Amino acid sequence: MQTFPDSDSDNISIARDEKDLEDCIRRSVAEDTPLSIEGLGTKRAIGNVNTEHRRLSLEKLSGIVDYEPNELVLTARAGTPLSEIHSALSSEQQQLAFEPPDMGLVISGNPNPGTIGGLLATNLSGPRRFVAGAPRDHFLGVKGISGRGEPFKAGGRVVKNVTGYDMCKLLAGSYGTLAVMTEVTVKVLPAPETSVSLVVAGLDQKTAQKALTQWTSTPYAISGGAYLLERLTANSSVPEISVLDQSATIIRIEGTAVSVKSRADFLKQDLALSGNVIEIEDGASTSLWAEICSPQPGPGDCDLWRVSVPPSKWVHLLETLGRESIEDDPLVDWAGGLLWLRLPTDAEMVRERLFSAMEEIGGGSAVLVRPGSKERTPRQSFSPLFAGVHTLNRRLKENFDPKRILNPGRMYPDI
Amino acid sequence: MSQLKMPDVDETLIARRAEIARDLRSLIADPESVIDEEHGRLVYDSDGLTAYRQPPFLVCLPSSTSEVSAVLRYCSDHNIKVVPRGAGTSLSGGALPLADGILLGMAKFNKIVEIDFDNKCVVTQPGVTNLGISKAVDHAGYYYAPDPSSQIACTIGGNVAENSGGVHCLKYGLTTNNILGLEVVLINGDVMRIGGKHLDAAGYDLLGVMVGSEGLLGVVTEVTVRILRKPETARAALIGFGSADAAGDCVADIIAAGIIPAGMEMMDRPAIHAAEDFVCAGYPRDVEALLIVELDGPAAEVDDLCTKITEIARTRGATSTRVSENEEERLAFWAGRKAAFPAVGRISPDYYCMDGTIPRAQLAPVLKRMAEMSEHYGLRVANVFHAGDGNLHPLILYDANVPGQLETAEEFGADILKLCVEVGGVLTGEHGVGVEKRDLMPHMFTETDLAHQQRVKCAFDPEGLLNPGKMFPTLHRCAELGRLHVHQGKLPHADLPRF
Repeated sequence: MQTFPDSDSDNISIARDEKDLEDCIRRSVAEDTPLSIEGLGTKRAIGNVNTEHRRLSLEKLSGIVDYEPNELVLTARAGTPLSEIHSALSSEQQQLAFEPPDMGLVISGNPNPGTIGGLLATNLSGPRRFVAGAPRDHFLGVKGISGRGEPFKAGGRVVKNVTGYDMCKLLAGSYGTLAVMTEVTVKVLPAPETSVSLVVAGLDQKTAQKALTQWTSTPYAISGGAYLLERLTANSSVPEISVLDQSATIIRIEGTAVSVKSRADFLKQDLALSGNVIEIEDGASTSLWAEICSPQPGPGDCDLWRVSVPPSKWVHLLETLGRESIEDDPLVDWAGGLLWLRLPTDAEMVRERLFSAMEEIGGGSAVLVRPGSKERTPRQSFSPLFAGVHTLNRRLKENFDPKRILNPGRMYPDI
Repeated sequence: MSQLKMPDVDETLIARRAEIARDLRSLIADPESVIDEEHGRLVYDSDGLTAYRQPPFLVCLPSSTSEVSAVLRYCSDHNIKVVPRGAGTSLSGGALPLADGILLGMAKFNKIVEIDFDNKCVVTQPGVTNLGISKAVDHAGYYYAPDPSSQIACTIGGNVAENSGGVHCLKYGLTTNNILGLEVVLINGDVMRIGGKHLDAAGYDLLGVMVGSEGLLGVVTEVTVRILRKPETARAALIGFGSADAAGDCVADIIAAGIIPAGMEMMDRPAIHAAEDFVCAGYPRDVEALLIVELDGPAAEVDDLCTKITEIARTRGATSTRVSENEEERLAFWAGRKAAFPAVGRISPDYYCMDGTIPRAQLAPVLKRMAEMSEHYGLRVANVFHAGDGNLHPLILYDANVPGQLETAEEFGADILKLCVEVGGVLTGEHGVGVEKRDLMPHMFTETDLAHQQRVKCAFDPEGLLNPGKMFPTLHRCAELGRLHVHQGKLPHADLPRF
């Protein structure tokens, strides 16, 4: 058995390379001892992290392996900090188009975007989701070690590839329960030259929903659509928003300067029908969307849920859920497709009401990204699956991790 | 027909054809939807990969999800193989029938269920054509983005199975990036809904796994697709170069300038001449490579980018550049490219269309190696190329009536695909593995890589009844894949059938 010189305690293995990782997983398979997989720990509040399990850290499995701006692909070890990737990309005016949210803020109060592996394993995306997709849509290739202790690869380093099953999609959002990724290849895209936000203040929820639907139905390629209720606008660091003292319905336009100006001019006419239009220029617009992208710690002690719904149904969901069930003003993103909800901590009834409300409006999914202080085990952090779908999830787990070594119970008790 | 090893045929089943047809007729409303007589079955003996033919054991054409469920459950109970089929336009033999397998034709699922502009999606049955979806929402200024060149005929269900692409993939993604939800029937008859009108689904990404699974995991009975607002305007530039190198450099420069065109196509000299002879699109004949670069979006942006691209082309020594001034001209630029396959069909009795992807930077060396192979095999090759995303479509010209030429063309094709993998690319960009590239999979994946893919299969279809003989070169039994610790360096399960 190998011991790792870098280990800082008895209960953590820090893999220095793929070989360490393979040894560690094989040993855990042989000894039947589950592992808790981690990068920088920025998403440890999501799902059930079993603190008694041995921790397997990928922090040292770090570094960009290959970045070819002209091919629009980047390959990195799974433990590479996103900050390093962002800075490599921005030096070539490129970006991860799905706008990864920074989950460090809600965990520790400090910004920390985590690792590329953690991002792909949780499949979290930001405001551009409804036009640019999620990490799953940009995940081209992977090397990893399954819960069988076997290293394997899938996908490739090219954008167009249908050679075999799309295993990258299977691993995206699997929370480390099927395999530990060691190296990943993602598609990267040019960053927009500039952006502008247009804001209409004071719309009520129903009007805002209609407005967002209508504005995103224009041919002006809107890449952000959000609705902030009064209390959220007051807390914004962007002066144009914090002075409003009422709700803000916001859209974003990105692209070349010529294009942004021309589209903004057209859109301003549309928006003016709903109220006074406030225009927010490049730098402030970027700060505003960074704020919308990453959940803020927020007031009080409550559960923070991330809820994906059909974009035209968010008001219906809020009404079904009832104002009294919600602790603080919700934030609406993805032109209506995403709600950040703060619900009373440890209120099983409210959680059940959320799940049944999603069913009533025609489907959706919910993830508890940060529970309030009242700890409970096991947490129910993910909305339930239909019976047949749950069975398939379980069978996938059994096939990839038959001895339940990798993050067992993190997503669902039997997965 | 060239040699292709398929799973062993169960002769006892074939003897029970009439009895099984009778059973199936009791499961579906229209008795004529079960075809057991020989002529009727012959209609389905091939898909778009016509080199391979095999009449199916029986044909079954269900018209509802409950009928699909009943038929699959019957097949599962009686251990009968099933091959799903949409319009049969697969170029990789994905819908090639089996002598002892039921061909499940989905043509009767031809209705659009719901158009929901507020949520920017369409719910449709899988037998609706790709173009049919765009047509259904055209009046409101919307369309469905992935546009395989067979879009007039191919079905959305087939697109889901193959993760189809088209010329607009670089900007708008493949099928997988444009599907929101599915209704799927598993081989045991279970019906399940995956995803919906919301963007993020709970649990593992079964939607992502189903798309591109080539009919091996389940039968799709309903699809929810994302629709997009049509761009305000589109313009195309037609740019000629004296060498493929220069054209390749121009493509790289366009990307480096931060421009993602809606489409970026390249044709080589033989393809240009064939197309020009056929449709008189106005292509220059004195160039070695021709680029069609299409930009779409807001008018101000498109005009701005057209100027930038013309400038890049000039710097790279373009010998001719024309930018479309109106819709008629833009369509004329595309007419030659869209007619490239039939145009090549005019200059050769047969052609074999390949489909590999390479890193863009490898284009010039790959074209050079292909020219050498062409010499070696004594067969001509014409190239059309989705230059934006590195997807190559070499067309190998041959004559099926000359004994041995098909086999030579296949060998040539296999060499091209191995070359794609060698330079860092993949075996198939948008046509799928099917039977065509099945035996090349070990060139790209190790035994362990493939075993992990097959474990996905085991979760969905543990008995391996759905579309066996496609995608994987070896039929593994799930019980054996389930054992832990496959030893490296030694082929496990030496007793298993290999194709």
